[in-house]
Amino acid sequence: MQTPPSFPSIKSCEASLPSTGSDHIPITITLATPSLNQKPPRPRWADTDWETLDPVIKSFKVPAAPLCPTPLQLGEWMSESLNRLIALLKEHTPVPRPSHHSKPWWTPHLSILRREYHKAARTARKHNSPHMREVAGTSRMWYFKAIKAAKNKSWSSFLLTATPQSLWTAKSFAYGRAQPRFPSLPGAETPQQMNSVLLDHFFPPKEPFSPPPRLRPNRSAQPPTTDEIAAALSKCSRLRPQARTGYPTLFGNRSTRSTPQTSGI
Amino acid sequence: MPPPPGLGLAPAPAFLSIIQHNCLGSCNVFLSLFESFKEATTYPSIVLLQDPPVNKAHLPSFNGFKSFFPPAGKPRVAAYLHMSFLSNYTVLPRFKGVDDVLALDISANEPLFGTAFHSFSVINAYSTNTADHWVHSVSPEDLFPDLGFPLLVLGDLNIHNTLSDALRHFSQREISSSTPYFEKLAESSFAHLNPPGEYTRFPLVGNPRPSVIDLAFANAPLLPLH
Repeated sequence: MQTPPSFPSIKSCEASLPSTGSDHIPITITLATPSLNQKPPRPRWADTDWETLDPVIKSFKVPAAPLCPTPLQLGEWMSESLNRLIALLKEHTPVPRPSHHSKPWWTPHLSILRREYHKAARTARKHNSPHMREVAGTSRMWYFKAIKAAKNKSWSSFLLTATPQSLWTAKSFAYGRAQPRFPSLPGAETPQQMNSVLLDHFFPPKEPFSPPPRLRPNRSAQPPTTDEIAAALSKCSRLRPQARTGYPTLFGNRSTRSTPQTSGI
Repeated sequence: MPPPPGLGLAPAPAFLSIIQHNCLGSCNVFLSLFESFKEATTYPSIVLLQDPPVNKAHLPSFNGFKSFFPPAGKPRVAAYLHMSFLSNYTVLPRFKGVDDVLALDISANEPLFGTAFHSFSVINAYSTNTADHWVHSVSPEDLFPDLGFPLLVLGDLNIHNTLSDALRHFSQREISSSTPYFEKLAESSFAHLNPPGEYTRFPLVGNPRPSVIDLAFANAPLLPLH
């Protein structure tokens, strides 16, 4: 179940969690938190390019301070000078770009190798010379060897710093997660789909009822002759004045036909 | 090198999510609920429990969460807050001297959750039938106070009404006992968040019908035109 966003701050009210064994369903209410989502990314000061920045900082000049400033003017001058310096630092400092594709074992060295490998591969495709292809192959080999080494180093570091709490996490990384014990049905992923698949299998929909075919008159047949009508009427019992029901009886039943008539009209 | 995954606290939530659940006093239900968070992309910020498992006046702990519960021998409500949420906001728990109502007053220096308010309050309640079956343990006045800032009321209220379950026929006693709650929330301009008719409780034993008793309400400051 999910509530449409009726309020700007309430995104949803739904039961998205699995059953916990209780007869109640866990209910999740999600609130919008723009204050959390709109925080500006913090620069990675540890990766600041100081070699490039060093001559720039040395040539940086603080704006001239106002003469006989008021406390307000002094504060503004200080803020302006500080903002200029921070802007200069940020120009040479990378900003983290969090992504689902980020790998914990990735290093800046791998980025350089990857760049060199793609550069060599492009050159080899462009010139199509054996020497360039050999260079591209070597770059590729070193690039993938470095990836393998980085993965091994990260995994070893993880195991060395593993705690009793993270031991099972390491096991799941090494052996993979256990298969779910709940059986799965082909073509059904959600509980609603599984429900419909099971219902269709065990209680298939009935075929629609079709009425028996109606006997149509044969227009090409000849009308009955007088003899045929007389032969048909001869099989009927004789007309009685009244039956017990009060209606005249035209056709006799089986008991009437089997019983000889003793009295005529 | 960035730290390997799986170490330290649980991952920080990207948005604020609140979960409410009745644990039936079972530790297995408690563990199932918190273990299910690992399958989700992010951990919830606040977990509000009714009838939590209690052992010698202590509640179970879970890595990455801090618990708050009324100072009673057997608290009937509890709140588990994610540590990253506690590091971003100031949270003050209030217990009102009872064991079945818990309020969390959340405040920050910046406006919260898309509103112009710096304060936010959440009430977690577990209201049960009293001896005379006409009055519940938590009164409507305690559940729906008139506040000037956003308030979210959650809990297992054990009240039945056509406003929450429109397709079901209720007895006169059920309607009479639930009417004061819905009248009070209408007077205080609360809005019902549950999708109408979506059952929240499926009885495991016996023949009782499914019902909508785990309810959530938001007050007027959360309305779009406020």
